[in-house]
Amino acid sequence: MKKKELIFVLLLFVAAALFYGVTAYQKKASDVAAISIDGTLWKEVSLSEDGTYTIETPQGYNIVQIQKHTAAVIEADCPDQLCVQQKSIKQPHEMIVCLPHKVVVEIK
Amino acid sequence: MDSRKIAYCALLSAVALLLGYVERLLAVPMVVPGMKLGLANVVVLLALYLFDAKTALGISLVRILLSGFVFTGFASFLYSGAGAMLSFLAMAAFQKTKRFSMVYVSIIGGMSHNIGQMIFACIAVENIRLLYYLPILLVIGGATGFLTGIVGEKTIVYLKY
Ligand SMILES: [Zn+2]
Repeated sequence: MKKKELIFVLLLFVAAALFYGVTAYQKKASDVAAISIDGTLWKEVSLSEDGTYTIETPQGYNIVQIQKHTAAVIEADCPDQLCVQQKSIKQPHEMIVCLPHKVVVEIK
Repeated sequence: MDSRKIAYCALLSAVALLLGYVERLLAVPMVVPGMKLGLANVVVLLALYLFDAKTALGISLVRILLSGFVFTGFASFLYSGAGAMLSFLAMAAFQKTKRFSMVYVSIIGGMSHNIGQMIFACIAVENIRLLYYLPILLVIGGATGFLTGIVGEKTIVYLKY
């Protein structure tokens, strides 16, 4: 029952797994997290140094914490709190997005 | 529009709103930015098959507007609105050809929901590299669409209008 549809979803899964497999293979270990506001780079921070950074945007603030080579948003006053709920990042390409504040934290 | 149809539409809108709330309660771990299951999609799917595209669009709009006001802020309202609109357009188009099963239409709906959200997010934060998350979001959208499609197919038998 619903075999074709299930196969379609499984193929989708395989394609995505291949994509992430290839990008993970190509990646170089990274030490920098780039924080940008509204598409403009605000600060590049090192993942080797623990610390917290408060980002002030016209819409509100986000607090980014660097700890044990991972980056996370630990506090924000945005209405949806999605950036706070998202788990910490450390691999290249990974990013945390706060849509209401237009803030992006991205591992380089 | 007769009163029976009005009652159906009100019921479907309420269920959509409720499913959106349940999804929030489930607190699915946010592995990727903007990840959402899209359970409420099943209601738009049902409206599409029970009535027509116009009615499904109406219910979809009511859901986005209400949940935007009730649960979230303006940015996420636009964000989920972009997803819901693309999802509606894709489902309506695929359903119209009559060459795809209800489950397929639902899968397409789930995937395009996430495509729409992603495009909006890329524009909003002006960062195209967000697309890195598109493959996983397509898998999540497709898988949820598959499940809600089966639910829709089983439910519609009891909902004959
Ligand atoms: Zn946020």
